[in-house]
Amino acid sequence: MKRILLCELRKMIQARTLLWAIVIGMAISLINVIENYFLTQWFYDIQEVINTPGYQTLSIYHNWINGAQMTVGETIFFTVLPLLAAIPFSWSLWNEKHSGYANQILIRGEKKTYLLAKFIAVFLSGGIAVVTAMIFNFMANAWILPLCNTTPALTGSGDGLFLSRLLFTCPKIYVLLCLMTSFFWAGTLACLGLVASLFMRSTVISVLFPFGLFLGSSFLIDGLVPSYADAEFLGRFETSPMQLLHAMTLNSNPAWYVWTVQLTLLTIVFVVYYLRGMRDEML
Amino acid sequence: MRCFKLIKYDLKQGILKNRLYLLVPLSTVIICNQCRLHLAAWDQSGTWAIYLAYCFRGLQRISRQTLSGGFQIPVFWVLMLVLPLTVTLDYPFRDIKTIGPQMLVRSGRRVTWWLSKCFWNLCSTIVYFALVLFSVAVFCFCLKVPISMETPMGSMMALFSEADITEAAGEITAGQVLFVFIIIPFSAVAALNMEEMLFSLIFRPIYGFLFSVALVTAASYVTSPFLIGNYANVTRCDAFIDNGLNSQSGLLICIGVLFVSIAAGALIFRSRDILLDYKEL
Repeated sequence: MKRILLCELRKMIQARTLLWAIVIGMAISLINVIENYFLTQWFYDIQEVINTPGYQTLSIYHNWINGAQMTVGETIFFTVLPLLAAIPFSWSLWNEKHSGYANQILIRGEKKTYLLAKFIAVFLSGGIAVVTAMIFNFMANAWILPLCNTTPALTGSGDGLFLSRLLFTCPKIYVLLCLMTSFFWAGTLACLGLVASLFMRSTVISVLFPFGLFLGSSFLIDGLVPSYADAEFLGRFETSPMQLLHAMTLNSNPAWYVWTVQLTLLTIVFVVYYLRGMRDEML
Repeated sequence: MRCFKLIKYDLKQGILKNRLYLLVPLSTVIICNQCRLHLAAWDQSGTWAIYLAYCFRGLQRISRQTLSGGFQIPVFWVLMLVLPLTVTLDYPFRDIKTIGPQMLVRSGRRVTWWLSKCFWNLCSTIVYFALVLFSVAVFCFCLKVPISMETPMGSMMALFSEADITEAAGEITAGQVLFVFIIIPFSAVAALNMEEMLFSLIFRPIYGFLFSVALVTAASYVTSPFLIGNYANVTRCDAFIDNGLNSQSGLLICIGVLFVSIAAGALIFRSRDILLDYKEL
């Protein structure tokens, strides 16, 4: 297991697509940094006129990519997040299956081990690509924004939202948990692409699958459940998968809810992947 | 003759055998149903033109100051633009990995292959729009909604409730409806599709798609004449919205992008190594 896992991890790290996904993610997250730069300029301009006390408006905790709710950079980043997660390595099983490489490995080792190693490598690839871009965004924002605490009035966060208490009491831990949650989301999305590659005839379509699924299900929820805001349960929780990727949403997204959805999705993905992968003698 | 055969082959393989087109009527009907509920809340019944406009209704012009709470991406509008991008993404580059080199040799000129793919791309956009128009018409027919190009003021008010609608909105002619609700969104989608094919040629299809989705998402937020996705957003059109984007110049920009993409693609494809290493994506 260890040998094959190391082999898969090495292939994943050496994949040029991982590098491309990180570079594209960083480029998109840079848009958010540029917007924040203009925000600071605007803040200093009005400060000269009305002498606003404090710098909480500029706090990094509600202006970095996972805290902002109204920037172009953040909007683009979270829209293409399923693609950024799937690009690095979710295509690998499809390529190895169609080139015959996978079967060469299978006759030399256990199929279960190979599938498990591939799953772990793909999960990590998605997480690394997305979280690296987010860490870059946080560090770049730290050049221009102060690391001061934020207040509920300045953020969209409040009671019932993702780790809202931590945001105002221990923001550094909040950021860390946001990064971990995003890592988990991205890993799950990458694994969705991996599962799709077992069913699809085209590698490009299998990489698009997580994006299509998330956009499509958000579309169906908005279209088929038009009065969901009035419903007792659905109105309280964020149901749109595209919105759930954000740390701050318009509807309620408490941490236990987000983590339960993540875990359920990952379990379903793993079960489908394992059963479909193990079904035939050869891939 | 060779060129004609190539086009015939592309239309058959890239359009007739493309099952992704099945998603178009499905999505359109779901959006139309949402439009029906929206109009019912305003006590309006609408017309075919109103239902069509709803399909390409994005967000009004927004800014950080006007947003309250947070920005939520207009999923319906994004899907209406991303769907044609998905439909036209895979075929040309799947073709070049399989039968493409044979076709290139037989057609005699590399540019012929590229032009044939551009023609196919344009035809795909036409088929996409035809499916949207037809699905809206079928939906209206089933609900006994008038299949007309009239835009009653009450329905327009319901449709663009958030935007600064002008008084002229209720008096727009059938020609204007055709121009604003069909021709402008069509040209914007066609330009986006061609742009995606160009970027897919330069980089890889998946990066071309990612770039195009990023452009569409940016257009949902930023009102700029250079983000062509804005022209497919009828809520930002100057025909009935104060300080909207000029639709005539929009048409020219879209046609410009379309031709630049075709010309740039032809130039790049002439010297492109088509036996690319596709080990990764």
